[in-house]
Amino acid sequence: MAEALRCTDQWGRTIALAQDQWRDHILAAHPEMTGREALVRQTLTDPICVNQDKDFPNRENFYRPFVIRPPRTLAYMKVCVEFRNRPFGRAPRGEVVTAYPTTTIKQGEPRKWSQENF
Amino acid sequence: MVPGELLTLTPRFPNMQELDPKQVHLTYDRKSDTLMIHFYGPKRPAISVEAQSIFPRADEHLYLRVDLDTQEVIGAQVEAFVRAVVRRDPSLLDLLELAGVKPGDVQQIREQIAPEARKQAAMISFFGQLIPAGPTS
Repeated sequence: MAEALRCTDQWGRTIALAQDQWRDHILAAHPEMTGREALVRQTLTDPICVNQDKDFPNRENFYRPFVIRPPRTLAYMKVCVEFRNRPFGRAPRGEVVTAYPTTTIKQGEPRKWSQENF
Repeated sequence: MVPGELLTLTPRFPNMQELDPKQVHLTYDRKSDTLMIHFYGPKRPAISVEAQSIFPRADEHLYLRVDLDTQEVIGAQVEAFVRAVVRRDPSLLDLLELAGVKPGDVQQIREQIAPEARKQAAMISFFGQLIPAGPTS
């Protein structure tokens, strides 16, 4: 499977974004994501908060603010990752299912982790 | 973290009667379980705005796609479409076919939905169509 990116989150979990998913869903449905691979990576490795998805127990949503309109107007990058457990106590492996800019951190999502000053 | 102020928008809806059906483009992504509706084709960049942040009674799975420059709503994004949304309102299954999902796959999903939910959705749709300002409003 060709990958658009691969990184490790703060819990040591490997997260990959398949080239197919990047091209066929994320870029096709969200053309504003063109050229945003680095921001997706940054959101996964240095988020402001990580929430449990409300509908899918094996999914987590990573959020990070970014400048959407220079010089100071911010929005959030949201990256949704589906995790699969692995045998022998190895860290779960994640796959990005979608990513897009949004104006809010979704209401009602259980908080898994957030930065201290957030 | 980045200093600045969070974006605020006042989205404007287009007149739905004036949308050109030839331009309306629907897609469904099975992996993320997301239905996308683009009013003017899929090429227009936008930001996804949680509908509940504007309309508190809106479905929690609905995002509006808002053009950053014009603040016009140019489409919609529905998350957990099969897992949650169509199970509550099976009449929305038709959108999957419009989004190019094979009729056989839609039928499989339909069969997974409890008959009671399908019956309730049919009644709401039936009366909603025949008495638009009636029992369901």
